[in-house]
Amino acid sequence: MRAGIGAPPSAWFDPLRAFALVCLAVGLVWLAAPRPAIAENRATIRGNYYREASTRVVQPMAHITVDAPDERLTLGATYLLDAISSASIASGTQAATGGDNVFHELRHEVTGTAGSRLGEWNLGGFFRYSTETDYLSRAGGLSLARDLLQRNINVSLSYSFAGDRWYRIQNNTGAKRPWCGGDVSIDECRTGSHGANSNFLQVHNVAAGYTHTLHRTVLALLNVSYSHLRGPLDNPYREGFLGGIEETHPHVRDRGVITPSVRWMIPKWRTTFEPFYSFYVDSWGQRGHTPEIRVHFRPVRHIRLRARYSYYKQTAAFFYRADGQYVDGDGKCSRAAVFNCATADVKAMPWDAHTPGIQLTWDFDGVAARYRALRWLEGGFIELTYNHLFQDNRFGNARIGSIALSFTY
Amino acid sequence: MQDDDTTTMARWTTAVLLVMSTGLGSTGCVLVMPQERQYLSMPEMTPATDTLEDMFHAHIEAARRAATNGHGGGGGGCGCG
Repeated sequence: MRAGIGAPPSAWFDPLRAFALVCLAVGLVWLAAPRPAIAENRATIRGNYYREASTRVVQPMAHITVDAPDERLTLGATYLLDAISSASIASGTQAATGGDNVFHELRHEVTGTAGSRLGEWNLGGFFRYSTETDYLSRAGGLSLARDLLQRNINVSLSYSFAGDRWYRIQNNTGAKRPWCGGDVSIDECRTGSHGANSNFLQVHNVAAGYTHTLHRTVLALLNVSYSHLRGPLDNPYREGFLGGIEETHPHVRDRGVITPSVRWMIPKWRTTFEPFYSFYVDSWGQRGHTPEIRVHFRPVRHIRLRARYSYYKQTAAFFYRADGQYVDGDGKCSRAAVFNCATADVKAMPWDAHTPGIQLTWDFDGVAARYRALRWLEGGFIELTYNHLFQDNRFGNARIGSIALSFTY
Repeated sequence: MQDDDTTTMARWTTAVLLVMSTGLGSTGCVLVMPQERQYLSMPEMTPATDTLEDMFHAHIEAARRAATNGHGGGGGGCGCG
């Protein structure tokens, strides 16, 4: 790995140091806290699969949590691998990589978490490191939650920061150059710093949550999230779609999401309804609506079925042109200078999608109770999920599947 | 954000808060005691059950959709869109 990649994202914030401080603070409070009786260590392995006409993603994941020794301090670690195969025409890399080949990409991601439940308070922190050939991401975050009225209300607040570095793989040579956006010459683009001619993308996210127990079978939830993104936000490989013009997006984006939801169980029917709705708005003039309904059903005690249907609709970004006629501007892309913008990004276009899906979960508690030799399976489960994505964009329909196996130890 | 976007967000937030506060106002005095929480503790009533599944969906959405759907901040996705 190059020395530049290892440089800290900025001088005023070091996610690793912040994470270490959170661990230290949690540890100190832990020593002074009363000792509860609850403890559960859990290991989960998961395989995710995504397939559309031009792209396939296989993602094995391992997740482990340890109560050390109880819920006053819970440590977690997750490792996942993204194995991405994509046809270059559809992915837009043809012009940059110089050929119509299927390319393969591996992304490694490691996440460490620390959480602590101290009476009515929950504290948490995480650090995530993700690396692939042309993209590097480091993120850290803190969360605080408080139970009120004998756990009938829970309020939470979290903040996270991500510092990402963009690169571009040059024509067939494999040389890696920093990418600062389509309106910055690749020769003037720098890494190891932040600012106008930097490949550094920073993402600040603040989220607040509210959960209210309305009845012994009804929960109401509300989540609000705001993100501020600053840095390159366009893709280095889409000039093939734009007649040789580099994709150029604004360098700043503010995003807001509000998501109310309800979970309502009808015990006599062994059924739980989970409707939710997500409304999204951002400073690029885009809006998104996602109503979804999930229905959980237990045909027998230890088998859970879940059916879901989700509808998704987004509007276009202010710089998107339906006729695809962009000019090669020589300045920054903004609302005042929209002629400097160019996009071939599906994320900036108007489209909608329908997603039906089904999930089957088998809790092992039944067999663990029945067979002495299988008692170690108590608390474990296996979960199979399939979703079919009917999307009205150039990627076409997609299949999303996963299998998860989880054990306590 | 532009003024109309901010107004839209504020309008939706107000509407949602009004609906939820009406709901909470009508049931907010109900206090579910710890011994009555057996249904609330089941996995289908526990949002944390979906955390790992949501991580994968958030990753896919980050590469394909404008909206984040409330999963959290962007970044860390593949450039394969």
